Amino acid sequence: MAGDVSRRRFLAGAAALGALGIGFHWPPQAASGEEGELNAWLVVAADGSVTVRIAEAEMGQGVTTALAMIVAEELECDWRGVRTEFASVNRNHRDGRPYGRMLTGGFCSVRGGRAGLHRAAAEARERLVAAAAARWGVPAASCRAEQGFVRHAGSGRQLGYGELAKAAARPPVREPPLKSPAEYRLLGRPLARLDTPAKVDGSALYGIDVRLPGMLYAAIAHCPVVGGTLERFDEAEALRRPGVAAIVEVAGALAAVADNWWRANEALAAVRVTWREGDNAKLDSGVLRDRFRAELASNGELACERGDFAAAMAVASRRLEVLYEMPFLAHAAMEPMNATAWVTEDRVDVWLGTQSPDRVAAAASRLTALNLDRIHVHQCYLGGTDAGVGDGFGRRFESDCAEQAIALSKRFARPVKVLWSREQDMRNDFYRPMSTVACNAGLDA
Amino acid sequence: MAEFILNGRAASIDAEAEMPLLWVLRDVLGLTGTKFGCGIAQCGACTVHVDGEAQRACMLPLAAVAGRAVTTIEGLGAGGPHPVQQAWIAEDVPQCGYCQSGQIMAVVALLAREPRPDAATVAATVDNICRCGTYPRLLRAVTRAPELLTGKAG
Repeated sequence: MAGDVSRRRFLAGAAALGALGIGFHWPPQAASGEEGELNAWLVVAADGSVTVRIAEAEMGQGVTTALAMIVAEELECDWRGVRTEFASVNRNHRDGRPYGRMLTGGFCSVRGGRAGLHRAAAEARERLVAAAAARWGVPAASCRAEQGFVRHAGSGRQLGYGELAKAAARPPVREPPLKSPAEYRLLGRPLARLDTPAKVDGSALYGIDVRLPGMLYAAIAHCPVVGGTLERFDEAEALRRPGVAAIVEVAGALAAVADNWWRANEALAAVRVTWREGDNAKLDSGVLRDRFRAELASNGELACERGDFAAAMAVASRRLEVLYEMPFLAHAAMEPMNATAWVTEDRVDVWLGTQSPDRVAAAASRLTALNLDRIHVHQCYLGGTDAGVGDGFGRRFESDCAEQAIALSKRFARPVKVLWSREQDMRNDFYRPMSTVACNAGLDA
Repeated sequence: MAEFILNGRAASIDAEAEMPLLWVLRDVLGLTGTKFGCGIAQCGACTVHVDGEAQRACMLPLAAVAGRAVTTIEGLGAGGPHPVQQAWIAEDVPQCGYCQSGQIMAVVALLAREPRPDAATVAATVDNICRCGTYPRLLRAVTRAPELLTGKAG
């Protein structure tokens, strides 16, 4: 069946992804010159607090905390002074891809990223130790790192990481020793999530929360039929509404642009629009159901057969013939699809929660003809993807909404936030495929 | 023009009377802690307090709050985390976190009315949707919150 084939292809892709891992580059690139940055993954401030760069999307699976724990463990810093920030997508392009492929899915953020993070944090720790040893004029082997300090056993002297960070910013240590699991203080222990405080006081920044000076808001209407396009529209009435800047076509859909989103969405409803519905105009759930049942009967693929089926069925005292039908299903993430873009002559900035910053950056480059080093994708928290479990089939792999924001910002030369209504979000998903499965079984007495 | 009290301070908004409070908060005032989820008062992500009662802001016209006191998640913890927020932190309730402002506002309003609700009451009253399924932890936090509330009062 068509639905099953596409799902199988996706599964094959996801499996390959898991096998490849995240693709860390080692050694981590030399420090960018930022004060206290020891490598691309971590920054030690003068007060000894540590900022860990997270190159994954946080959609509820707790990855910001898990990855920060790995770094803090191996760095031997004080967990209470650890904070996180999302890694720079732009730097990844400019700096030889220290974060590898920036893509979150397939349940592999920790498994795939862990080895690289251990090494990155260990080599930073070793440089802090070397810096302290050099300052004291003692062998590095006589010093050890412990909870944010380097201590010299012989003299009892100690220096905080914050005092050492500047001196430690020198070429990386190639083969740093890693802590043994027996020495772990953090890993394997349940710790409070780092993102909880911001998620209980409303300050956590999701894509939908981004606000920029002079920003316009866009509401979008797509053709109600999949594959259809915009034929014509009459915007006269909508344009008379307060705050409405324009009604325009964007990639086959209709966009209302205004000074707040509610006004944009109300204006959209006031546009008289005619869609060119195309080949799928008569497609509905009933047609799909009949088509899938027919395909199953004529062309179904045998997924499982146990025992001598024909012989067992012939003598079975009870026979079960069951048809399982699953419809196309939307991801229905709590945060409706959105993206904010700011396109200028020589730079593009896009803010959104995305599982695939690389794809968004590539789309921005394609739409503006600017090189990737001019593209800045700013990762935000994701308001769920698919049941909020970091599911690899997440809706936020796609760049469709970001492309609308980029196109509109380019057109209006202002920052534009595109937000889909819940109805548009449900009707324009990359759905979980429909499937029809028959199960025939014979039971003995 | 509508005048109301927002998080303890006077607010004066020049917008359409029918503009939902949610968009006044988010787009006009920049208070983005209150979330948009469905737009039809079903999911509860936009829950705020109006005169202490939990209300879904996405279908509440601006005109309806004139002269009333509105509290958002930003106003709840203005003097340090509210006991319910403390309970949320203690139980590490959020996952993706998107619905949590609304959940917390709904729970604070419930506890003000009924300090020790049983699980059935919580489920019936706080019917906000969480796609991550944080409900069991939410319930634990609700159980813990009254002690913190009492502690604060004492």
